[in-house]
Amino acid sequence: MAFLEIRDVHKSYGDNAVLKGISVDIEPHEVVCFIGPSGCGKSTLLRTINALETIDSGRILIEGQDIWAEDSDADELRMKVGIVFQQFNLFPHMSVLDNITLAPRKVLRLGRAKANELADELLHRVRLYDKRNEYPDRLSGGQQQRIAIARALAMQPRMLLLDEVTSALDPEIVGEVLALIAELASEGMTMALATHEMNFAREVADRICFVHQGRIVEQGAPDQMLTAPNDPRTAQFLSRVLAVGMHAKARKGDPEDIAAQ
Amino acid sequence: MAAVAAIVLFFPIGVVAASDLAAASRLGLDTTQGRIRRKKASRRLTQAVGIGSTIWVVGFVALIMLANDAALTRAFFDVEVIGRTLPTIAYGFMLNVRLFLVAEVFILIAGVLLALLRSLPGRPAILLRWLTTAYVDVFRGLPSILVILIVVYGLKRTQLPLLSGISDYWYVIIALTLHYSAYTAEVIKGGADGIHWSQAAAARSLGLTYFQSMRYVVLPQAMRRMLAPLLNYFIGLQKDTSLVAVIGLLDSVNRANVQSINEASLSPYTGVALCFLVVTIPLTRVADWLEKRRRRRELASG
Repeated sequence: MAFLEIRDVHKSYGDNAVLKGISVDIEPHEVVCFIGPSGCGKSTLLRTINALETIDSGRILIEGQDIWAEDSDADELRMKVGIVFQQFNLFPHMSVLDNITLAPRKVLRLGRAKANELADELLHRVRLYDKRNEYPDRLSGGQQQRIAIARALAMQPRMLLLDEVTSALDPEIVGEVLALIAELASEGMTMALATHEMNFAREVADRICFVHQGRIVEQGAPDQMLTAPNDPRTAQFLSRVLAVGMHAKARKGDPEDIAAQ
Repeated sequence: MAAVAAIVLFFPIGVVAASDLAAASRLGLDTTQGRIRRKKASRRLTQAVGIGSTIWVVGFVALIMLANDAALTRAFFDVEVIGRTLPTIAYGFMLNVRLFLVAEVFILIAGVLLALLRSLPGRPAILLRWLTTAYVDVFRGLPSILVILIVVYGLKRTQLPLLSGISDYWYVIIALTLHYSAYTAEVIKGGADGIHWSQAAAARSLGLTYFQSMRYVVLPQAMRRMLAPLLNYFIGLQKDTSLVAVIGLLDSVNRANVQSINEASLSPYTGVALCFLVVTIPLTRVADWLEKRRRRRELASG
């Protein structure tokens, strides 16, 4: 059975229809990337999976349980799915350690010592143990985002949603966050990503879904999607982002890319 | 225009400023000398208006104090009477302070509760939101003296076991709590609304309940911007404790009422004024300082 099943989900804000019938399944240990132009609905889709957004119609099932059904507990189900945001959303009034331990202590009711132990383990894993007593505003964007990932992992989710997690980062520190995500993928974490990093998507994704105007227009294996898309809209989108990406790299003076041109 | 005002308010500097202005317009503002004279003139104008208004205000106050054979001064500033009545008035003022402190505790608890209920999300909470909004609207809209009268003279008549047997002191606490918790709820809700929704989203996504995310994530961050307005309402509350005089509690104002008849002088009220100012002026300074610090910090964090 698929870990996550999304069935014909619709969502509008007033007159603005953002999701117009999205259906997609994600299997355990699968990594799925959602790509598409800004405002296509990929971020909204991720937030609906975490029940941060209500839906107008359709169903979202996590391990077969409808998150909006009368007899299911959205809080319980959303604990199985962690989310990491574009803007990190760390709690600025708490230390790094407290950011990570808050939910384990208050929701899982772990004791302080136990929660700290768990946090320290995660901090080692994201290689930021030395920052455990710092406050978020003293960290770089990349460090904040790694802490945000550690915070999500502290609830031991079965799946991780990553909502454009590198879009707010300076180009030179995107790598450290992507490396961490790749590591999680290789460990078998089920993941759904909304991303603009095409090369990274190709590297980690098992499947890429192209979202356009609230619909999944096309999906498939990364190589096929990125090199030989079937739908003209996918091709158009890819030609645009890849051209921009190449342009940016050329400007930064990446010798390999300049040679390739 | 400004020169005329300056001359009227404070002649010596006003005249110098006016001559500077004349020199500036003679030299023209396209010359350095002209611009310098113009700047000098504007500095002197400000100075003249400042010194002048101070003199006029002091003069006007002196006039009021001395007019009609110093009738006002003799009525309100009889130092001997103030000294004689101050102990009993200060004793009465302790009741004002006690009312303030006790009511404040209940007001804060009720205010936080109301604010949380008012921003409760979701369709099932619609009636709760409506109810708390109605409460806040009504009690913010009523004068506090009316709330005190209704509670004190109204609840007694109900003859209900818990509500009719308590002392007037507790009725006043109830009335002040009803009135001021409505304001406090608004301040707290405003503070919470000022925290970006993504903070609550992050908390909820980690499995925290609505109340937990408010308690641990939203309200602590909102605290900083709530402090100054809350303190301003506290100052209002401190002053409103004097309204208990109308129902006959022996607070500082009521004791002054009695003393002013005994002494055939209005000076006891000056003692009351002194008591209140000793408390409210430092509180006002603290509120201003908190607000200034918040602005500075917000600027610092960009």
